[in-house]
Amino acid sequence: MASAGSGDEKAAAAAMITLISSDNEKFEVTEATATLSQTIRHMIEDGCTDGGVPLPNVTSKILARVIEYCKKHATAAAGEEGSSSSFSDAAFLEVDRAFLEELEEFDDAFLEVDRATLFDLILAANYLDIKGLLNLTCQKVADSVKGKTPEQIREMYNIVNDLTPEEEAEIRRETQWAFE
Amino acid sequence: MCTHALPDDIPELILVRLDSTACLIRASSTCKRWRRVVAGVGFLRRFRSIHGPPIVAGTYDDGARFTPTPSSGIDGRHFSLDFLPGNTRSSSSFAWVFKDTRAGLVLLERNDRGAAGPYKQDLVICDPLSRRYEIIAPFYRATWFPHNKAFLLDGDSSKSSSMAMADGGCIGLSNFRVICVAFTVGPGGGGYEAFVFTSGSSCGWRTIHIHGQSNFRCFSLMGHSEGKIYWWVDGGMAVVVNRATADLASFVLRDGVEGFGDGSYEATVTTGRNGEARIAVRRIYRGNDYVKVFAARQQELAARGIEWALEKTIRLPAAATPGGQWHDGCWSFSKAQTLAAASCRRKGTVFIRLPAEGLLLALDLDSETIEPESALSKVGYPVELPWPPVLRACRQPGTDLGDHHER
Repeated sequence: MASAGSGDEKAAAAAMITLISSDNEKFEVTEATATLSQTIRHMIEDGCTDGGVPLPNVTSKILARVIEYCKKHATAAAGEEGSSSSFSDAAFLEVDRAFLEELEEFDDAFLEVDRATLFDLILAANYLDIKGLLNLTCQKVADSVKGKTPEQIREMYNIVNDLTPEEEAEIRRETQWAFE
Repeated sequence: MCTHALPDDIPELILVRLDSTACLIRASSTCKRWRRVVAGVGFLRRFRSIHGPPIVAGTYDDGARFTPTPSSGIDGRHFSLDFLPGNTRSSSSFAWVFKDTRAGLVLLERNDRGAAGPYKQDLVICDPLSRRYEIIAPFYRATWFPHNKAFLLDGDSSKSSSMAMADGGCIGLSNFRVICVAFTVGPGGGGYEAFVFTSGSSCGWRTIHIHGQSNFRCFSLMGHSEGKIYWWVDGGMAVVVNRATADLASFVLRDGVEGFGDGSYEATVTTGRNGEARIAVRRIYRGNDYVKVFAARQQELAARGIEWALEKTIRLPAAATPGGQWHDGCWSFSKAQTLAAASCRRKGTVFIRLPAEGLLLALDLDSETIEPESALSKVGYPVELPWPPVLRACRQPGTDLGDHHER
């Protein structure tokens, strides 16, 4: 919150939260990083984070990636809140632009993962309620489907075709234009 | 990895981000589960809210020739209307008259003057992409002139099962409505009546009553603006229908000084630069060198609905006409051009036609300037890619598909 004094900010930045993955690995993160997750934010607000936050749905491999994302984006969020008073507008815009570019590059590189990992990231982002990460990963999947035939989409995502040949023929017949 | 392990809301999050209707149709043809997601309540509305209005695939002209929008990437042959009865390729002329288009559907009128059998005047609604059509039974009380306007309205959203959308906005061959105005002759003489046709099990035409009245001396189309169609009715009253909900309302235009009595007036509607409708009214016979512009007043009056008030009176400059004056009866609003302007996002403009001189003038309601108009092309019937996309095949059992004539 912008209304907090600088002393409080330091205290908040220093506050650490322990996240525990499904395979029992512990991750120490700042509260600012952890609260990108609405799920964890609510747990903090309810005061039930003492002794660590168990995340039985997230493996250590995926949690490490999620934390990497949150750290980067938490810095971005802090930059947006804090910098407007200390820079002139022009300088602020310049810094802002450079930072956004850097963030975009980070996101692009972050998404360079295999499909299994991408789906695990979606599940984790959904469970932890991290809007930015959920958007990013779902958009990546949506983009990969662009211009693909149903057969190609099934192959990419191991989807079992449970439509009968008659149903498929009916679909083709009524929406032929979309298949060309 | 198997996508079937994904929680239910994940495929939806992905599908809603697909970049086009065509892509959505292909993705929803991969398996039943993805198909159910797309057919689910609210999905298409969310897709639309992310992607904006549907793409205009192209435009029909009066002769049913279809010109695709170059950017749509659609093959124009998919929009051929050769599947309509009596419209074989061998026939010399197109037997159908265009009336309206909405969400990929086309409304036409057939005037069959064949030697055998009775003279037929049917309305037909068709879906060019799936090559299906429905004949709409005519109403026999009315005298149906070919120049009568008819418009497509969305169907009843509560009657649509898996395609239901919370805010209306659903139309298809088995769920639609049509509104039209026709001249009828009753015991008390002739007059104009407005009718609405509703599809489905209780299908048929019903007469619209406005303040208990159903027969009007005047019921002339003003045009449409922002998804609503406006008519000018007796004595300064206007009737408006919302095309998504089929809700009808009427309101009175008041200019504070004089009302609209029995004089003859002509009115047209356009969308102002603020995105709200403006109604421009002219008096036809006497003192007709001015245009009165009305806008909706914000407060709602419980008894009379929304009242529209005079916003300004524009006196037309004599210099704009070749003769130097606005002869009585020498000009009229060009509603077709006003409509065309709205569809190409030229806001706040109405068009004036001077038939004798063959001139079209554009009147800007904000700057009150008037200029010769040449840029607007001929009006056609734009067709959007169908929205919602046709997803009849393989829907949940129990959804009523209606009886379609197919070829």
